[in-house]
Amino acid sequence: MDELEAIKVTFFQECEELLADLEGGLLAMQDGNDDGDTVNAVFRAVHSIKGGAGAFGLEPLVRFAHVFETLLDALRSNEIPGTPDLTALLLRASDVLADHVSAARGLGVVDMDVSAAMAAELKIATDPNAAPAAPAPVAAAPVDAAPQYVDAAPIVIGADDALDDDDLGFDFQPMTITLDAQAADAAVLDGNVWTVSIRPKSDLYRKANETALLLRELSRLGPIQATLDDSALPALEFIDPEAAYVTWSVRLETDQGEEAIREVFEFVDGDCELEITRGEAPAADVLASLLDVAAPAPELAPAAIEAPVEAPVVAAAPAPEPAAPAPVSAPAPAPVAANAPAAPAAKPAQIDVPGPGQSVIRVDPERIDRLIDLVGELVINQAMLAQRVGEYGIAPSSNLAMGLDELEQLTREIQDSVMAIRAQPVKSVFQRMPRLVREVANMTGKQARLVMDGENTEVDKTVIERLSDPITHMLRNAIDHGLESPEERKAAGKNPEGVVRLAALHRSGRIVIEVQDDGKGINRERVHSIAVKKGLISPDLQLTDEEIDNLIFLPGFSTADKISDVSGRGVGMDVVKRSVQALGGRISIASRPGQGSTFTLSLPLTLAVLDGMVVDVAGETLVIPLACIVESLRPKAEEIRPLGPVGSVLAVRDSFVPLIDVGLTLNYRDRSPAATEGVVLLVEGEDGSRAALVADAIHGQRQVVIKSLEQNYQQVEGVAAATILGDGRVALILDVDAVINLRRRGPPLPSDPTLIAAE
Amino acid sequence: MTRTVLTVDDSRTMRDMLRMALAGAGFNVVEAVDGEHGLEVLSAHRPDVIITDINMPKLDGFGFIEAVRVDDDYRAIPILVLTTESDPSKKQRAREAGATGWIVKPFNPEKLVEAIRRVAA
Repeated sequence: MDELEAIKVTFFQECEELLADLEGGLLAMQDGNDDGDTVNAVFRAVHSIKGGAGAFGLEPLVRFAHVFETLLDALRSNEIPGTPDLTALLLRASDVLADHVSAARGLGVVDMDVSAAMAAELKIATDPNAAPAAPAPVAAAPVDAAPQYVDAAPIVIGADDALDDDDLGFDFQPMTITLDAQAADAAVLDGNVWTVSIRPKSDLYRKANETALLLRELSRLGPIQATLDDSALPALEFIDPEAAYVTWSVRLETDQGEEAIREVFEFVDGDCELEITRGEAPAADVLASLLDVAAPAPELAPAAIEAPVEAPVVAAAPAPEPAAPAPVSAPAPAPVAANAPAAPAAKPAQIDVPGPGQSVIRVDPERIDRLIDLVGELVINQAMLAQRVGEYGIAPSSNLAMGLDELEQLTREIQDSVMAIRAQPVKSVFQRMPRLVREVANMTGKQARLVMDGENTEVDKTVIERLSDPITHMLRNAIDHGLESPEERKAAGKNPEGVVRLAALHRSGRIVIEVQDDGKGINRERVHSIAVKKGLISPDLQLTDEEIDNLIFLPGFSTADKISDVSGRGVGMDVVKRSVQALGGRISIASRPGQGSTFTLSLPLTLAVLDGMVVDVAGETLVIPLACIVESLRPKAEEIRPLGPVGSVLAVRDSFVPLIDVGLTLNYRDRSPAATEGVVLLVEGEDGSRAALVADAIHGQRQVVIKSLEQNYQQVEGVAAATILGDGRVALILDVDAVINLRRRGPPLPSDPTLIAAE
Repeated sequence: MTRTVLTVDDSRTMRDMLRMALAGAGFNVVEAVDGEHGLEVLSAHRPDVIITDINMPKLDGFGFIEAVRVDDDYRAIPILVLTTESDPSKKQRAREAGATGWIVKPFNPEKLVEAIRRVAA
């Protein structure tokens, strides 16, 4: 049943959204916003999860959701008061619910002890007096309160058509409707004959039920003969069109029991007087008994005339029985089912409930990936074509060249559009974090509040999927190592509740994720001494504050006094750093003692394409990401100043930036040519630091398709990735920050005295 | 003649389930995501039968049913509510509002189609 599986995928997607709504609502309640709408939305979220889970028979999930829902129902009907403690309980319950959802999905297991304990807590919160009796349903007003029109006068037809026919009341004759011609002939087996008398109340019609349909249903059980008694029908001028006046007596032959007959009347229970008796009832008796109830002295004779008529109403008796839904693919516009249980490719941020008019197409993500690959090839192909045309020396104003320009424009637009399909807000990752923060805070005995910013920042799906781990790590680290215990915080004159801020933003063509805490900051003395003790640095090395901070990214570094449950286990920041770097990303830390630390993670917006400047260095073609380049210039000799034994700086307007020869840094050559002979590209690193990169020549800007170097070869320091140029050659894409850092650490002792010897 | 069924439910999963069952049985299905939306779709599609959830944002099932029942154009349309076994009081309230019948969740497709047949002319 593919379709059912597809709906299940939808269900789990919806669960994610509902869990997010749930958490969002609870957090709003925590912030004191507990109006009825919020509580209702929270209730609905749990209710919907339960409903869907029931449809798929996910029993443990249904059971837990039910207990949860019961408490929320009590809360929203003000049976129990909302308190901060209750909200905290609800938040923890939402975490358990999320576990149940994951388990139902086959991802992980639920700790049934935790779940049972939570369920017990919820029950107690629902009803503190906790007699384990079933909660009494709120008494509803009795439905079948005396119908208002009972002893008024009758009209035959349900609700609508009634009034159109003025003379209806006059002409109407009691009659018998034979629904099955054979009925009369059938040998009457006493045990199989039933008499059903139906006296509808006006409520029956008000609810759009219909006597004719009831008769039709009865006829499905066996042949029927129906006799209508309209003796209670008053004169026309007294008829209340909304009222019910007639009584039907039905002789039914069926081998089914009373239960089956009662079931026909399930929906009209209370809306009609119903009598089911076994055996043949002499018509007169039935009528007599009914007449006792009905209004006396009807003007029309209550004689039940035996006139077998095929009533038009019943003509359709053998109801067009729709075939039982086989597992056939529906003819309806079923959504294109995603095969993979992956997130929807292009998930519209807001429109989560498409109406019938505006439909959202769900597409297999693989199709989009394929499209993106193809567009990548198109870009390369287009570049090659442009290059060939250039080689033939065709004038830029010629039709051919102009056509090519247009092609390039189009290619770009296609590429942007395709990338936009795959772009998603980081929300999907962020929304998992409040829970993490709660859990880590609980485990470490800290008080932490998470503030999130920029959840709607969009980034390519390929990147989103990789964000979760580093963010998780940074948050854990921030709470475990960054925040002080509530006591320490109080002693330091801070709010005992620490604040951790998680933010996403776009900066110079990359996505930047910041995790900021207001804790104690990095203890530089300790970090330094640990690094020395572990032999990571030599004791006499002089380091700047920033450099000390960054020691925590060194492999094998861990500052925790004891390996804690949370951020210990040997997985340190070095792992985070490496996984981030593998994505062409960077991570850095800034810390101020007593005021907290900020981790900054930056990643490319997409792992698919890049705008770059193509340059020549020592005979090699390199691509420098355009996003890093501030400007390009040809330095004059007097702008270059030596600095120290090996370095030199370039005066750019009123500041100096370090001059870095790319060829030297990447070991393409061991001697730098004079910077004045080359071209200088002023670049800006992730942390805002600037440098002047020296290249031999610039070829121009180009959009390149990124081909991973790690996947196809291995990671190379200073190189972010590779690409294929228009002429088919492979070019390396420079990792600008890495190049700056390589230079900072100092190149392996240079043999030549100075970079700028040539004056 | 193909009958049109309007399903009103804020849960996409439930709407999909209903659609699968109904379309498989040859019904034409139109959908709405809450009571307010349901009233809009109602006038655009004139369904033969309505199936509605109770708990919904904006306008809930009770309000929706009441709104349908006071409209002379639509009040004769049978309405089935989706309800749960555990909630007899909700069923009662829905009936008072004017629901024709009900479907207990989780429903099986045959029961669903059966319930529609029972109330559809």
